[in-house]
Amino acid sequence: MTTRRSTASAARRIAFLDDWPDYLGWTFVAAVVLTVLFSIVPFIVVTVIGLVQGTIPSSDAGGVYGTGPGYPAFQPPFWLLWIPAVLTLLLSVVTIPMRSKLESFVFSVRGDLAVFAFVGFVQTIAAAGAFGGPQAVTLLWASLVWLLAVALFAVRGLVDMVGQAFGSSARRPR
Amino acid sequence: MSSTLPSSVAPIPGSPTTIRAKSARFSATADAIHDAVAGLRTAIADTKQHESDALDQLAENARKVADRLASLQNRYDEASAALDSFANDLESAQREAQTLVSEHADAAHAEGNYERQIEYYREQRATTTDPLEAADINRHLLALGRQRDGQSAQAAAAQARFRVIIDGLRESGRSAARKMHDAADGDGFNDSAWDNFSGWVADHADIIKAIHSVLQKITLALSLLSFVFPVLAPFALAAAALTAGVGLVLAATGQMSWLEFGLDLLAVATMGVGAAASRTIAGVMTALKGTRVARLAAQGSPNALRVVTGSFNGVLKGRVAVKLGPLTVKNAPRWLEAYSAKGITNAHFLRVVQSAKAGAGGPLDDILLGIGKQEMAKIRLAGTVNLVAGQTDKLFSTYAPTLLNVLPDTVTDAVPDGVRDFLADGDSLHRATTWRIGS
Repeated sequence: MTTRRSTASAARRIAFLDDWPDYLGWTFVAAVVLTVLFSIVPFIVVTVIGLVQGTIPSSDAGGVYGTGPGYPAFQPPFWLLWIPAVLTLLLSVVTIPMRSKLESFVFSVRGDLAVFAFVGFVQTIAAAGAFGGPQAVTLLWASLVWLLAVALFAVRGLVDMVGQAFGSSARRPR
Repeated sequence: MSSTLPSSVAPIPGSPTTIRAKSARFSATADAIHDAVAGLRTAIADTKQHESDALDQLAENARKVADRLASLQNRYDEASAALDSFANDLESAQREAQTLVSEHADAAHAEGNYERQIEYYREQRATTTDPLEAADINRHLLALGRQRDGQSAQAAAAQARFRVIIDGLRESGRSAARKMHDAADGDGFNDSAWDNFSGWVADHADIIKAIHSVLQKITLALSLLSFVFPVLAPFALAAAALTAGVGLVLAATGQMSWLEFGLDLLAVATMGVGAAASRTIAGVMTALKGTRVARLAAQGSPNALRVVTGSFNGVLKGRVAVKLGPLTVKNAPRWLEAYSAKGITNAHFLRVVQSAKAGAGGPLDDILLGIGKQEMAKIRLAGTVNLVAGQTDKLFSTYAPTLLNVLPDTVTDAVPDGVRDFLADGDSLHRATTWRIGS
């Protein structure tokens, strides 16, 4: 998609997010799926096993995120969250030259990506402190990667919004 | 107690010593409360020597506590006195009953002896052939009968006195129980049904919180799946309502903050908003159809209804390209289309907006399309608000403080004190919004 005044931009390969190349789209889908698979699903599995076995620790011992005799049944490989974290950071960097289309009256697509990265950041912090935190330091660094991605998406999104609000009609969304 | 008391003459069971020991414990408790009240009242009197609003407030609170404690002391004093009184009555009754047991046993034994003699002389009378001897036996039998009846009367009298003792003891027990009940009932310190329920929830709080946590995640999973399978939407809403219900129990009993319950309610509300918006979009579709039929008819189209219906049905057939975030999927399956649009109805609306052109145009059509788009945005906004609010709350209240606890000092020392204190005390908002109904 091009506009009358965007030939120079087109030359710089600026594209709307809707026209992202497939490999970036699949990167996004993979990041979402891996985040759910490596963070939320292990929590559900460990909690359900704890409930069935009656080994959920007391609130003083951290509750479902704590440790106790027989709990957790296993230590999930939370360090794998590095993979979606790096994928999302990659996404946030590669999409910087791309211009967003404001799809609704509140959030752009980049806003959705920022919200997703924020969820990834929170879930990584949760995983870092969970079950006695054996992978705490590793995941703390991973959470900073997520946080950087949130910042990049948000700042770039704000630049979009300012540009759309005060820029020329050619820079306004379709 | 009354069920264990014997109905015929027998030793009365029970241990006055044990009852007195209980009474002494109540009395000691009452004394301890008395000392505490005296100490509090002394402290209150001391505060009058200072000019301080804070101390005045403290004294006022202490006075209320002292008054309440004084009421509680009365409960234990009354209970101790009632138990003492009953122990005395029991001891006295046991002593009297023991005497009666001896008397009754002697009378019964003598009566048995007379009975056997009477039997013997009756046999003698039946076998004798001498009339004089038979007359002597008769006189002797009459005397034995009178003596036997005398012993029977003594045994019956002992039984009657025993019954009086038992009745008196029962009344004493009832009176003691009544006094204890009245004392306990009148001081306002009794556990209500709500107190009992709160206690039960507190005893099982860890399990209920774990169930609440799992329900939250099930709600999330169902709400995601309902985008693809709309038939699951009511179940997602029900799961959210169930989560909020368990949250209400935890919050009302002081086991969870009202803030967390508010977020549970927010999830229900956002799903409700999503469901309502989907219904509105379905209504917009119907209105769009009617508007377009009317527009075409006004333009002179002979088969306006058939044309518009064909236009709508036509765009609902086949596969379309779906934008999943930045990814464009050509010939997307229906489930992906429904997921992308957050519902089948929404997906149909998007198809109509993008492709159905028969009768389209005009201000009314634009207004209806605008309403539909606003409802779509509302669905998106509701989901985002729910997600961001829930995640932010969890981050500061649970995840960050937990992480700080498990990180090595070499890492936490690098965090500025202000930030560390803020994160470590991230649960303060929850604590501030945690209270038990009735507390």
